[in-house]
Amino acid sequence: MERRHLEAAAANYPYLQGLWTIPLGIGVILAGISNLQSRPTGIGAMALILGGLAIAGAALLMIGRYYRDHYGTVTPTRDRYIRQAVAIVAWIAILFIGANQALFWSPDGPQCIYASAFALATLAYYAILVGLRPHHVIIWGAVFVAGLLPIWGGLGADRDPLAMIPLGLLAMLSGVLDQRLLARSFRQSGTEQLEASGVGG
Amino acid sequence: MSEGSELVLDRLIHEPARLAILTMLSSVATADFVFLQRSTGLTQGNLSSHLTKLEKAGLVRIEKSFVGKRPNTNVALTSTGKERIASHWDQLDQLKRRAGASSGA
Repeated sequence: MERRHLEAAAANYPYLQGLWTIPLGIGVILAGISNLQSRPTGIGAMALILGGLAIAGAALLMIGRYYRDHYGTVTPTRDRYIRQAVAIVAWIAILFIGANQALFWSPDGPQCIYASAFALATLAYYAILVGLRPHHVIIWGAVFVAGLLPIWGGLGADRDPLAMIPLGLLAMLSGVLDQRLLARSFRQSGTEQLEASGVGG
Repeated sequence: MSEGSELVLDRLIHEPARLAILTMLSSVATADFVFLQRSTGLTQGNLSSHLTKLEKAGLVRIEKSFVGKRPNTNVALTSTGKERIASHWDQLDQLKRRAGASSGA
């Protein structure tokens, strides 16, 4: 066990709470479904959207309680808050630029710039905030490449909303893997590990 | 401290649990009791005992409050605590370098 592992376990804790991506992913999927040109309509569709929102809301409450009770709470340093703000601004800026490209440059093109921009924005977010981990690079790198491949033709105005459905699912997967990383960092920072490594004592 | 001077490790800080607590606190503004307990793997009693020692030594500041109806204990490093833990890790690094140099000689 080294100093940097201990410091990283605490400093990265607020940002590796990956379960938050479950309600976020549900939100992205619902946004995609509700923006489809050929979206489902009627009571069934309304029930789907409202049910999804209710699940996302309940998940937010449960996840907040889970982290508070099982992992506790830390207040990041001012530097970390600034870094977080920079990461969020970068995410929004890249996605906004990507969305504009998708709208104005290739509205019916065979590529999905929106998906690539979403992936790039997410990679930038993680790189700024906690450093890229292998699963970030694999998941979002693959999405970035997939968005640039000419496989999205023929979907018309439904291309980007349809892309939001796998994007939401992959955001959840990425978050669950962040959560695994978080659990592992807690195990590694335990004092038994510290003693075994010969530091202290 | 110069490279040639004798290194004296701070026994209060060098104990593994307290070293872990102080090092983790050095990278955040505050951490609550649950976080420290979970991340160090200490029992509630052990963690309380270590925190009391660190507070008496002026290395941490402990604030007890209520979040809703739940008691909450927040811990932060004092400025002395920040200096002492940084200096302690510097000393450990120097020791490692010396050990590396002597084994390589």
